[in-house]
Amino acid sequence: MDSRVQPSLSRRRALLLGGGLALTALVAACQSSTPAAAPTAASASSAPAAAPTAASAKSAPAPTTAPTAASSSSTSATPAATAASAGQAVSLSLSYRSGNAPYFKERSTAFNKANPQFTIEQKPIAGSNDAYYPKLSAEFAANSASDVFWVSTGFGMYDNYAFAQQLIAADPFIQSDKVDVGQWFKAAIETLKLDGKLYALPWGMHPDDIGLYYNIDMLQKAGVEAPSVDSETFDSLAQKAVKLTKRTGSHTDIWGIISKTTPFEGLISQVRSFGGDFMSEDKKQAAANTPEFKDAITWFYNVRTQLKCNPLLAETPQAGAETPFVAGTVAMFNSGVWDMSLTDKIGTRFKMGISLMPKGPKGTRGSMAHVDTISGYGKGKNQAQAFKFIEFLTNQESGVQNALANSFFGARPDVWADPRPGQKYGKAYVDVWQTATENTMPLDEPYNFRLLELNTAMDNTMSKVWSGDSTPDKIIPTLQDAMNTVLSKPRQ
Amino acid sequence: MATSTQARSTAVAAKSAGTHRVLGGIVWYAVVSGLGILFMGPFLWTVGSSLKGPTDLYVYPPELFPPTLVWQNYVEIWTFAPLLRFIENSLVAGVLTTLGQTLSAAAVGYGFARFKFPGRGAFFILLMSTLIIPPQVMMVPRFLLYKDIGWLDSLFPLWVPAWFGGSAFFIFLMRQFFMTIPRELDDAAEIDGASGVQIFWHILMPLTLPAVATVAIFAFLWNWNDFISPLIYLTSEHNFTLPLGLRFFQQEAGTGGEPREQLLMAASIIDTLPPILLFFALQRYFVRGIVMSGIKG
Amino acid sequence: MSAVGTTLRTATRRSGTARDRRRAFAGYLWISPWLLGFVVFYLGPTVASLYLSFTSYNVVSAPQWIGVNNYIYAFTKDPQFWNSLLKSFTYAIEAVPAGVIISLGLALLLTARFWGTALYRTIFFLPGLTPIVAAVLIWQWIFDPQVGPLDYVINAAGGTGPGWLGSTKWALFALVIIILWSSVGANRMVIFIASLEGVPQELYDAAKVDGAGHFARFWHVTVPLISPSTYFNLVLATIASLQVFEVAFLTTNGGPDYATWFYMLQLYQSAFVNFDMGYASALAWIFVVLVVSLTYLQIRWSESWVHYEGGD
Repeated sequence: MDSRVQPSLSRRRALLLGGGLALTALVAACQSSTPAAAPTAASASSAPAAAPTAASAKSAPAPTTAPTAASSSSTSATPAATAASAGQAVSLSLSYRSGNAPYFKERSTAFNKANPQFTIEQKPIAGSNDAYYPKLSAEFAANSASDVFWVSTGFGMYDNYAFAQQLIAADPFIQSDKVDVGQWFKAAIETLKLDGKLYALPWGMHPDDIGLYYNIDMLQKAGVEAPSVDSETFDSLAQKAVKLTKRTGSHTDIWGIISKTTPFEGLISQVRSFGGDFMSEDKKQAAANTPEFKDAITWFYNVRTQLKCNPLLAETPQAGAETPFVAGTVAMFNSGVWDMSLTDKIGTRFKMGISLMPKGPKGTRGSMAHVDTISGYGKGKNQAQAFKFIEFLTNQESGVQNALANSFFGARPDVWADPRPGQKYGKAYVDVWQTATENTMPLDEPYNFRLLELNTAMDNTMSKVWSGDSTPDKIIPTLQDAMNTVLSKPRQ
Repeated sequence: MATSTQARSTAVAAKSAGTHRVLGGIVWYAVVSGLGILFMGPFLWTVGSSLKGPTDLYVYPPELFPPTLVWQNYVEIWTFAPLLRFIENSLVAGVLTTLGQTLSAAAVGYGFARFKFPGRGAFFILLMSTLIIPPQVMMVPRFLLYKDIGWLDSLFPLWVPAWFGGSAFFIFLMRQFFMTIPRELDDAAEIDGASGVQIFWHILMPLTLPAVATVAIFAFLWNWNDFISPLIYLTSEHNFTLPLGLRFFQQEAGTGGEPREQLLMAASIIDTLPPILLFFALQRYFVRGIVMSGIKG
Repeated sequence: MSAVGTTLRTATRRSGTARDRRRAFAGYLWISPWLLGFVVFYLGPTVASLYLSFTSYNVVSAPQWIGVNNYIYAFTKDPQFWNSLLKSFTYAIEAVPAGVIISLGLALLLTARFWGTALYRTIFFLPGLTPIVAAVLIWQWIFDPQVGPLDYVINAAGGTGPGWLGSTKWALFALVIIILWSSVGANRMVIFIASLEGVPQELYDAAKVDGAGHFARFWHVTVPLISPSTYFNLVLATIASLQVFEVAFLTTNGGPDYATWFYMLQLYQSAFVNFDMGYASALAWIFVVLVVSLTYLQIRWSESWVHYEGGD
């Protein structure tokens, strides 16, 4: 608890004693709206725009003396925090989704071993994104978030939080700690920039659900050549899918392919392959009314309704294509980097292969950099020390451990260069995904940051097409409207 | 408890023995067992999945139980997350909630059912309104409230409200039950010189045991399965309750790693055991005999 | 006894206002725990949410007063507002009567005097105990159009499943099935059982002597005597149905094509996906007014059919 907040607290306590207990919540909820209230005033001094340098000068005894900051891509874990060793014991709290607990606990222990003056307090948030962000936001509202936390772009709230000045502005610390941002992929850094400034370091990145996993046994049996990373076209892929599809009566025993068009991510990458995109340059308007956009969704419409080698919406498993693929009723399916760990579920039942979704008519393959970050609390104390921990959690070894624990490969070229993930998952997977990741296009955030809301509108509108109830021609004006309704909302 | 039911049914059966009765029994068992299988099906799948290895999770055609049962899952869950600690927290919150909720709901329900006071109707509507306000919008204001009174990251927010009426559901339930009890009982006792507290405790409470048992079970159960409140109010792992603990076994969408579904299922089975035991144990209070003996006293 | 009671009550009633005042005071005392709890745990957050409904508030920055704009937006601009109301009411109409009737049926079955009722009650209660994270996994798999056991059976019988959760026409009904599975044997059934067990055997015996058959006894003895519980279950099932959220949130997330876009989902999305907490609060207050009116109507309607032994 920041000592500067004390006056307001005691005032509120007095209210409480005075019998105004019921209203305290209201007061608390509105506290930030009253300019005079202490918390806002206090936090203003540490506002990212100006304060970080001041804050670092104040609270970090020797930030500039970090001679071997984590910037060097050396595998050693120690340099990250030597700077703070001059100081006294520091306790930092760390929040993440509880499903990733084993990984973050292991990393915290490693950090503590290398820098004994740091103790890391685990504050996992139980559940997935649906539980994580509400909880984190409530903590921001109460000025009580953890010092360091995971937050992602895309389906996450990174941009919203950065815009609301809840995150540590990273640039001053990057300068003082001499962090080389070149150690991460450029697309990762670009995706994290908001108005040219960084508010976190990239922990992981994936190029979207553009992978194509396939059942090798099934392909061999049907005499179908494995899809190629380089020379496959959308047409040739559709033909292969048709050959692989098997029916008895009206029931489909084996689907040739399950492509991923819900949620939006898979779809947008494919639209980019066809040369289109989903928003205008200024990210304020929908761009669904282009011929390229229509060509792209027409392919996905055709494989469902004309060629019938890809299930319609009602025939698509809700829990994702992994389940039927593992069960052996789908020949090829479209997914992300993490599914290279599916071999654990498949066992010896069949052999799995990996390719990517085809390149478009002009030879480009669309993609989108989804970046997960490690951020720090912009109103927390010990920001300089917190940033040391952020550097540690985004260094090479943490990236490799992330790849090993979560099949999530991180935003660093040197993680891909490390032999361990290849030994665990198989070199073929790592190679294909490395290529895809190195060439990934950045993620475009709408100007008003309402990406999730936009996604909901797109998914629901497009489901008319994926269920065969409407056609690309008919849906595009509706889609354009639905998207613009969201994009025209104010920034927040 | 089983014996008393058994004794009863044997006695009843003996009284009205005959082919009619036997036929009725056969039909009854057929219907109830059929429905039972339908209801148990998904639960059995949880049991089956909790004993699967990662490669047995999804096969086609569907398999309820894997070829080899992996009991190791039930060992692994205890080391994967501090389940014991979570269970302990859940039990503390659950027991305190159940006690407070039962007592306060009975008292308040009694007040609404038996006393006339100005504004009773309005208060009752107010009470029902608390059931209607979507909890989602109270989340942030409540979080701030608990922060101000220093209750965050403690079990207080989970059980203290139960001592002050808790959920209107239970008060409403108790009121409904008190209202089915003939008013003459109170009047007679009052003439004998019993006070309101005595009437409540010695005359009406024994008669509402089925309702009290219902409140106790539900109060415990809801607390046991509540995810949102602990999620919002608890931050340190050592304070987590079991529903939060279960999420440790949940795989993140968009990340891979070793399959954990079988562990989630095993942990879910552990999670359901305490409420099952409680439900089984409290059932005897639903049995007619007790209610009747109370009335005839 | 009843006649004595009535005279007694009229007698005491006549005895003056001092007693009435004492009893009114006692009434306040009995409900005081709730009153206190209400003021502390509900009033503050409620007033706060009412205030927030007139603001633009994204939780992390300060709320800004915008008057009734949120309400205007809901009624006139929000493309899904009316649809979400429609979906919630459709769901309530499908789930409430079916749920209450099935629960009562199960309760009647399970109050029969046969050996093993305790075990069977537990079996029907089990689904309500299954943690939601596990239940969702199970049902997504059961409804899976390709590898799920339900369609496996349908295909074996020569039919084709309708696509369940992925179908714009069937998704809502699939959710009704999940909820019925998890709820008919839980709260409602237990309340019915407790209530059925409370019907005095003497009344059945007397009716039997009068020559009433099974159905007549059920209709003239059971139904009126358990009517307070029926009413209770009905009111709460209605409220719970209109608040349906979690099951849709975890399976369909409102889709496909907004087929399961329930009001609470709309509210949740506004609050914690779009982080328009001010707008979500306005949605909440619209909902409160709506459901309070509905509950009020239910209370008025209940006076014509709910039978209280000890009411006044």
